[in-house]
Amino acid sequence: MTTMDSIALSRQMLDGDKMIVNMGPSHPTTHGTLRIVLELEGETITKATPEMGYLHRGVEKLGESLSYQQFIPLTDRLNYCSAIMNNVGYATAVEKLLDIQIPKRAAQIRVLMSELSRVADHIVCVGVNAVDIGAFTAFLYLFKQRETAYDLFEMAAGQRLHTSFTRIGGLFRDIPEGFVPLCERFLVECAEAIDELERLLTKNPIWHDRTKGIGVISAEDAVNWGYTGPSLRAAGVPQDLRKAQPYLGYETYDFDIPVGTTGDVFDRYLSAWRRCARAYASSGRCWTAWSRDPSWWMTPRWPCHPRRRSTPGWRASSTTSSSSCTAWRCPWARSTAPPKPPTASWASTS
Amino acid sequence: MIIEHIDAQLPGTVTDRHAFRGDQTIVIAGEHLLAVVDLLHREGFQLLVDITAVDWPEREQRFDVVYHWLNLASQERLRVKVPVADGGSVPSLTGSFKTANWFEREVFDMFGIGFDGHPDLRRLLTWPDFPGHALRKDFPLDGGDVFCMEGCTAPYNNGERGGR
Repeated sequence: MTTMDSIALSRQMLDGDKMIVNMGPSHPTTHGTLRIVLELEGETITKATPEMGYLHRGVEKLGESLSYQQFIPLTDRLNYCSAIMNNVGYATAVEKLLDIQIPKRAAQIRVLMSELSRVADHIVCVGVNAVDIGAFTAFLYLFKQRETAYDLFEMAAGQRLHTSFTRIGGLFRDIPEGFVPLCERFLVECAEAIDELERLLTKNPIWHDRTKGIGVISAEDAVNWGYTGPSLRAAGVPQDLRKAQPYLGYETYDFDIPVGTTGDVFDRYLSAWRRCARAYASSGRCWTAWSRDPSWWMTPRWPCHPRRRSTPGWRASSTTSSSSCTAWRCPWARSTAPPKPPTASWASTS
Repeated sequence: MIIEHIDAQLPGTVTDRHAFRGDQTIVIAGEHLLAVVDLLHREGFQLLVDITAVDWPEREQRFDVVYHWLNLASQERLRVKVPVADGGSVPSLTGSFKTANWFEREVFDMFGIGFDGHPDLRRLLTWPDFPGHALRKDFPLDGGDVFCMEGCTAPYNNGERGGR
């Protein structure tokens, strides 16, 4: 390379609009401690190098010295937006390993609470993403509903964020008496909020401009990159574990799954949001199913970690809870006409 | 079903197998991994759900690298375990699965297992000069923190600190 060439090259590098910007690890829009090193050309990001690991908590390491039950509070922290789902996922896995059949009522309450927390989680996901793209209103409208959902969690589990609601073999306790009317009200109000959001975002030309054709991924690439959940379905792969490999009796609920076509941000938004609507619909159906079926919410035999079998506190709680739950009857079970789940126009359209 | 197919196509590769609560698991040696993965990929096991590892300190081949596959067409799952000794390595799957890149970096970071042919094998979750590998059984529960009070070490360690 001649001197002139190298001068030309260095001038090109200097004059080019490339700029390196460090974003994070504690940046208000990263929603967590994630560092991204961005390479900018004008206002276009040409390269983004994410660096994670600023919040590695070593949950698996902590689990090595805990019993199965003791680990449940740690599962809350895996995703604090839908803690109950993490509780359910962990408890279901341990129950599968120990071959425990949980009571039907426990499974139904788990489904209901999971779907409610799915709604609450998608509210955060969609609302906060909308804020990042520049639509602040949606966030505020939705968070009102999220508060109600968290009130429901608080009623059921005694905690809003870190619920620890499940136990190996069932649940921490049955849902309390005032839960059902509030849940009904939430289902109605949330349907209105979902419609409102559809009007605010789904048909909004600015939202279309900023999401359509952005971040497109093909179905093959999505599978190869190990995508799961709404992002995989947005790319056009109809994979939903609730349908494909049903657990907790999901095969008895009637719902369908939204599948995208292009795999861009707009499809991911729709697939997450329509899923929220579906989740809402299935939780409504679910609650009519279980409200008629008063049965146990906890298996009488609580399994313990083999190493901790003699821990006295567990024995005590085991005997008291199993005896109290045999005598427990669902207070609204005798009503002959179970309340209907609210229906909305979007429930059948996709 | 897929295990019988592997047996027929690549006889002698599967050294051990078991099925527990509906999960099928095979154990293969590291040198057969790429051939088996190629076969799995062709048979429709295209979603690599996870790569992780398990530390068995008492075993001669100390680690099991564990792969989970899902067949999206038949919804069949398969778990493949590859035993590897301390300081050893297994072939990288980044050639056929892009998602393997960060999974393998994580396993390298947490257990210190090498992956031959990985394009960029750096630590993923901890910082570059992190002492030891955090998910090994002999790594202290307190992360080696000198200010931690007595009693917060891992039970596997007989109360002693280690891993540094």
